[in-house]
Amino acid sequence: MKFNTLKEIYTVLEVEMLREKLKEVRAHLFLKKDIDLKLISQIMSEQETQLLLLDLKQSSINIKDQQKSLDFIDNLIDKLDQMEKVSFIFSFLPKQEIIKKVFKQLDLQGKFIMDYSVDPSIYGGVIILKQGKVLDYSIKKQVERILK
Amino acid sequence: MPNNTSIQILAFNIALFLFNFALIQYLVTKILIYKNLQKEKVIEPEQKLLLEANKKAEEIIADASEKATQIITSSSQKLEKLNQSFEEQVNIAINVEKTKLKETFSNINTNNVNLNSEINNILRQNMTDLGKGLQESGKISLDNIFKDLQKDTLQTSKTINKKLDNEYQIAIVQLAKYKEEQKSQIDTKILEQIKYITKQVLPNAFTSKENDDLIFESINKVKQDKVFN
Repeated sequence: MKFNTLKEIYTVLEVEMLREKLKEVRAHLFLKKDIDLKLISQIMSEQETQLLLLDLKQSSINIKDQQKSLDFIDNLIDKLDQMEKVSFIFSFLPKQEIIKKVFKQLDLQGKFIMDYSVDPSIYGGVIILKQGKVLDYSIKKQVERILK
Repeated sequence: MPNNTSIQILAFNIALFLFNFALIQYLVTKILIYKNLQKEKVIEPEQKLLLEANKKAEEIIADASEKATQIITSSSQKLEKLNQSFEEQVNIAINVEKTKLKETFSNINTNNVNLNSEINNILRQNMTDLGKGLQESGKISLDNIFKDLQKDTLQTSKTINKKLDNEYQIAIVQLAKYKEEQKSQIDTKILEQIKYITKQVLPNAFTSKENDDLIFESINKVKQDKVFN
């Protein structure tokens, strides 16, 4: 099953933040007799709240069903932890829109999370570290290849 | 022609002879007088005669001296005349010789011109004759020499060409090796320079937009390589 909540998660940082939010939601969701939706909106962003409710709905879970709802959140957190990390090295700090665009072009949403770092010595382009492999698409590499 | 010195010596000798002659006469007379005086001591009357004789002797000496002086004076005058005459004769002789020399030189010059002309004509004729002779008699031998020379030259040329080919081949190999070494050295230097320039230029070479474009160029390659499939 693909979670809508995970579709707008791109980076390791976002995953960690979402995990913390979900844990907090899980901890406080049923402190009262009924589910506290106001609490959810206070912890998560509006978009995240809508996506979470959408996932619950698509999973046919009644939000008043405490156990199923908590299991769903646990499942979601597990899913977050299971997402495969891919390291991207840029020559400069990328904007969020660039990261989103990269995810879209490579169709990575919900499948991979980006652990990015910055190294100006690559001059431009990108280096990808995936499953122990280095895929160098940097300008530095291209220049070195030309100079060889 | 007697010269001045010999004439003067001759005159002096004559005068000296006359003087000596007079002196000897004087001495002889004196001796005779002395002897007479010795006798006068014995014979008084003869003393008068001795005095007279002495007087005569003195007169004779004076005459001799005068004559000697006259002879010397006369000799000097003659000597001067002789000198003048001698100089005149010498000048005349010099002029005569000068004239003769001029004529001789003129003749020599004329003869020389004629001689040169004759020599040139003879040489020209000889050269013409020699040329004709060589043309005729040397034609056959020259042909042979040329043939031999051509043969030798061809052989030598082949030998030299063979050696040159060997040297050339060696040189080509060495040159190729040298070129390769130089090229390698130059490539290394160029690479170092480009690396240096790249390091200096590239970090600040791209704008933000260009950096974004470079990322998506890379992403397209990632897609082509099917990295995430």
